[in-house]
Formats: sequence, structure tokens, C-alpha cells
Amino acid sequence: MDKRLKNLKNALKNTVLNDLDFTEGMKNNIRNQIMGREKSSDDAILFAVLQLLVQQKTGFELSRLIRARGIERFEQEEGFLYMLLHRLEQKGYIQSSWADEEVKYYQLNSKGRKLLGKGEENEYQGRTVLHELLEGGWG
Amino acid sequence: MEEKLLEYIMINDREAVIEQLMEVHGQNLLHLVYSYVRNKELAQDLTQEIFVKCYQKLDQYNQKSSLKTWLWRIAINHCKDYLKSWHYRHIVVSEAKAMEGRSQKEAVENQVIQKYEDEQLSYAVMQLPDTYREVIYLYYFEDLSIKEISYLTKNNQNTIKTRLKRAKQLLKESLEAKSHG
Repeated sequence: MDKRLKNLKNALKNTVLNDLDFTEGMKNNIRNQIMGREKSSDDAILFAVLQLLVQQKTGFELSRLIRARGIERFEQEEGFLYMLLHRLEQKGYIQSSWADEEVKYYQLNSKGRKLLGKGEENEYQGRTVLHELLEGGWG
Repeated sequence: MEEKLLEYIMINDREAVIEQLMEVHGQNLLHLVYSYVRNKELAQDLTQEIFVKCYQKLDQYNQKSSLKTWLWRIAINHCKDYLKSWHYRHIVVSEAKAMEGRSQKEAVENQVIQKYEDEQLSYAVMQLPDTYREVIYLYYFEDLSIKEISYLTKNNQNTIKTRLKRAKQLLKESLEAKSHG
């Protein structure tokens, strides 16, 4: 039996594995999925931020709550959150206020709530419009 | 090769790592997956999922094993999870089963003896129960050692040896039954 099994490699390659190839098409599928996932995780963060900021929060609270939602990406990229908050503020979706000149609070304003509403609608359609509303990229 | 990959990881270019892994191991991985699921389309789907999974888990790779071993372990787990899934147990008819009729008929018609023997052996191996097929494939097709198989499948070495022995016995019986019947 051993002797015959020594030939297993050829045997399988000549028969069942004969036309089973790892194709360029498969590679492309994998590439697309990888990129798609990155994008959706960006959206997930943005969405979480908007939802959480219906009530005012500090950046620190926010990052803790986002992490609690299981969005892993945040663990390495704390700075990303502040960049996002800054951008949202610049675009007029959130307002910030200082308490005791030490702690900065963030909260959605009416424009931000509208954006959140649109995001929730589009979530059902599986679209990534939030991203586009921020004109792509994180700048 | 391996060193280059580590370099890539260090600069955190995960896409590049996956590109390299697909280039070097894609074909073998696909064949490995097929040996578990015995269906070509399914093997293609699962292989794609495995690469995506690796991409997501890449930051957990701790360099204790080679990147290939790490990839193989993820793949084997993924296949086994799939085989345990409700979907598989209820929906999928394996090609191996479908092959049953075909393989015998074609084999009979086949004039080339080597091809006939190849088909017989392949068929017999593919018909083995999962745990036996696994050790046969890893040992004879992948040329892995008992130790490596033990690590990949999370079974101890004696279990692997016993399974190999039993698997060969089963194969022998199945092939002899064929040639007499």
C-alpha cells in the first residue's frame, strides 16, 4: 500500500485535481473582498460615532464606547478618531464645547442628525453613502 | 521568501503579504481545501474566504510557526468548520459521491492502465472518512511529517500514527474489493 501511496501526488494531480486551478479571477475576488471590508469598516466607525454623539460625549468616552462595539481598528488608531471628529466639526455636522477649560464635549447638531438619518436609511440598502457624504477619504 | 514576507508585515503592508501568499501558496491551498470538501466550486469559494480571513488575522501572526504553517492551520480549521456546518450536512452533495458511478464506468473504458490506477487510488482516497483522508493527504500528498500533521490538526502524534495505519488498511481493502469485484 505504501508503495502505491507514494504515487498519490501524481494520481490526484492526474485525476480529481487535474483542472482545479487557483485562477486570476479568484485572486481578484479576494482583492475586492479585502478592499470592500476596509471600506465598510470605515463606514462602521463613522456610523457608530454619529449614533453615539446624539448625546454629548468626550473623545475619550467615545473611543471607549466604539471599542465596546467591537470595532477593532480603533485599538491601533486612536488618532483617527480625533481626525474624524475634527472633520465632522469642520463640515458642520457636530458642535463641540469646553467644560472647565479641560474637557471637550462633542455632540451632533441638526445637520449631523440629518446625516445620521440618511445613514440609517441607506444601511438597509447596503450602501456606503456616509462615506461619500464626507467626500471620501479621511483627508 | 519567508524573510521578505516578514519584512512586509513589519511595514504593515497587509495587501502585499496576501498577494505573496496567493502567488506562492494559492494553488496548493486550493488543493488542500478540495481534499476536505471534495467539491471544486466549494473549494474555490472556501479558498477565497480563507485568504480574506488571513488578511484580517495577519496582525495575530506571531512568527512562532512559518507563515505557510499558519496559513495551513487557518485553512484546515476553516474547512472543518464548514464540514460541521448545517449547510454542508444538509445541502451539499459531494462530487466524490457523484464520482462513484462515473469513475468506475470511465475507468473501465479507459485503456491507459496508469490512468486507471490513478483514478482508482484517487477515488479510494477521496472516499475515506474525513479523519483518515486528512492524514493520508497531509502525509503522502503534502509530504508532511507526523509531527507537523500533529501540530496542524491539533491531534497528538500517536493518534496520527494510528489513523495513518488504519487509513492504509481501509484503502487496501477498498482497492482489493475493486479489483476482485
